[in-house]
Amino acid sequence: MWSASLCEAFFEHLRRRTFPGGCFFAGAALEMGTRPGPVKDAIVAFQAGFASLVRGFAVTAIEQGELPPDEDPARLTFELNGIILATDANFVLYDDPSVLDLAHQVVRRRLGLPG
Amino acid sequence: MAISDEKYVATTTFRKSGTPISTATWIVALDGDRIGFWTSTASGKYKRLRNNPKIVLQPADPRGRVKAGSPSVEGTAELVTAGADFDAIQHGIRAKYGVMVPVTRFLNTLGHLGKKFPYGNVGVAITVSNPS
Repeated sequence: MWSASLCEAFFEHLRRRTFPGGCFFAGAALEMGTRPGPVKDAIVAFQAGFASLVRGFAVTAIEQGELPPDEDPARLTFELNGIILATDANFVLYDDPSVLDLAHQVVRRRLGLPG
Repeated sequence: MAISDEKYVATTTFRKSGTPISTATWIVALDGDRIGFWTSTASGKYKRLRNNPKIVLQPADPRGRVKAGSPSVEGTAELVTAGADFDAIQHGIRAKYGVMVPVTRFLNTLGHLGKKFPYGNVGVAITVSNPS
């Protein structure tokens, strides 16, 4: 399921320490959120685009029967985005790869996938 | 392990001046000893390969940093926008890279905001001249 693969790819992006501050856009969103201008606009566009990507994967998974028919794509998107942001903050703050293993389990459980 | 089993390779192409330029790309197997990947007709790689089909590939990390001591392969690139090789590359990339295709397409759009920068619309089919 692509919803799970996307989260895994994000966790591997953190594990590789592509950027020392974790996810660039998660950091930038908090730093620039209160400063109107083209930088903030670009970050908002990124976050909105990312959310619609995640939502699209959820819609496809529901259509293909990989997720229950009563799953709410918008709510699932919010939850997965929340898991991603919490993983990023915890990984950066504690510098602890076991956070990524925990996040992996949380995502699998939320999506009804085995271990 | 064949180079097409790698997830990422550092792909070197050459300017008219002969200066090598290396970028990270995906890689898939084609028929025989041939390998391939896709790029954009707006990319520097595409322009350089149009002028000079010489190409060198070496296993690398996602940022294009080569794996120390890994073997490089050299070949000749053919640019394809339709036909069997184009289809094989499109299918092969989607099968191998899965969710990373839409993710990268999204990041690509973002990286070229306000510019026309098609994603993966040209195939690069490579005949390897030093098959392992």
